[in-house]
Amino acid sequence: MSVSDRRRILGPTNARPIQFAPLNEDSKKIDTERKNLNKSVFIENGLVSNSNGSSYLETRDSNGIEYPTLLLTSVYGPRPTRGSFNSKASLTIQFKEVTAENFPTGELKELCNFLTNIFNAVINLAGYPKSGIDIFLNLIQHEGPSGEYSREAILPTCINGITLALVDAGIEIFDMVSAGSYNGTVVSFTKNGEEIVGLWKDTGDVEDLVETIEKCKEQYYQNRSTMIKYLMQNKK
Amino acid sequence: MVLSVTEKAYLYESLSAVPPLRPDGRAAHQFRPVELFTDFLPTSNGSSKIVASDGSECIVSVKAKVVDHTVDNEFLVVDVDIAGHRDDSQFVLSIGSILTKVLTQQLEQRGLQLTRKYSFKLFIDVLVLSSYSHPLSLISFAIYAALNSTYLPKLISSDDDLDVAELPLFHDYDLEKLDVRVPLLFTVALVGNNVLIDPASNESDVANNGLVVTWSNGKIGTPIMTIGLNDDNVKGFGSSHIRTTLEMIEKCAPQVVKALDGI
Repeated sequence: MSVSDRRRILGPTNARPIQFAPLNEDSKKIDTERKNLNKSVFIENGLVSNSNGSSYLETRDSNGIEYPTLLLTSVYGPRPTRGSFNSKASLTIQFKEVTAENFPTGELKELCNFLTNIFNAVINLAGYPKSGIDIFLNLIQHEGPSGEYSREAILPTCINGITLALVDAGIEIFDMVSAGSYNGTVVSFTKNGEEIVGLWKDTGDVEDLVETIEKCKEQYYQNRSTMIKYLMQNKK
Repeated sequence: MVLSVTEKAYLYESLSAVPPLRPDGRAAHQFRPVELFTDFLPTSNGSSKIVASDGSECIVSVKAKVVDHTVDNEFLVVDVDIAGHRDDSQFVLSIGSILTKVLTQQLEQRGLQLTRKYSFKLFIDVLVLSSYSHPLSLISFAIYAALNSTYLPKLISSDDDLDVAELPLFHDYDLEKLDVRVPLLFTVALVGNNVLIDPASNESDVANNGLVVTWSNGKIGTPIMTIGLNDDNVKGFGSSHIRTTLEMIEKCAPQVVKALDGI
């Protein structure tokens, strides 16, 4: 669904933009499962039909022993906000565990706060005055390396999921943002790894922080190229 | 504080100059003066009140309760209340979550253990009466002062209750000082190529990004994470910013600890 211009008087509310049938049916049949060095990921965009854009991600270790992390992200907006005039769009991110509740509310809010800060830097908010963009993350399943639940393990998936959903929604972003994790540290990059937009280190040693960031950057390159490959193969 | 677009642009330019020109004339590594009072709440085991120069004010109270740690192994509860923000807002809950995380990670439960079965559970209540900039580092200073002025009742019964099931018995008057090493949290603002410690409200408004760094046991610890200081001026930063931040905290933190310990 394309993004409409909220600053003009539009047609009837139930008007829809013209959509042409995809030219090549074969392009959809391409296997979307790809292997990384140690992670494999399944991507499918546009599953949530009533949202402006959505993505579904399954991340699992390539040996397939562990349960995969399943995350469904949907983007609503940009939609007009009521009240005072805002020259920039306001962004909200909400996280929900669909099947089992494993994280305390406070930890999830902290996660949302962190993600909001990342995407405030990445989305072209100035391009959408007087509007709000709402992102909903639905964690369907997750189990950490040894059965425990950690936010570090799902963070890269969340970031990748939001990026893909934003692309699907056609919302302007400055760059494909993605993240890599190493030893419980998650670093989110843009601009080909030159800029950091998010750093999350909960545990571990600080001495080797610069090295850790480099390790995360390698994973970032992988994740980003996987996402771009998927988008290029499935472009309409 | 609401700044116009022009004011913001002017402030951003001065803050990203070399050396940075901060509106209150501070150097990049300089804190705002704070006033700190301890032990003023008679009904709590430890308390502190901190007042920053911009009028931000925070009260922390520490209370203790004897619990059976074989049943309840959560030894610390942090409750944050910030005036002007809903209790269930993302801002308040995430500050509470960061504080719980850092304190449970860095404090030792052994210091609170009374007997093989019972131990103290600490309830840390944070009340921010007014805040103009991000209150995290102010709260952390107040918690540091409160925990270091906490006195708990002295145990007079045996500390080994494995054979006899008895409740711990305390002295009527004598109190023992709580011996803990409390971590500190520092917030820095990243503006242009500069790193500014303890950003004031107007500096936070134009900052490109923010970082929270933990200082514990005389060195930089975890968590280290990015934090949003505003909604509309957020940008990425380079790894050189992280290096500068860590160097700056390593230089400043011992002096802050010294000042806080001097109370």
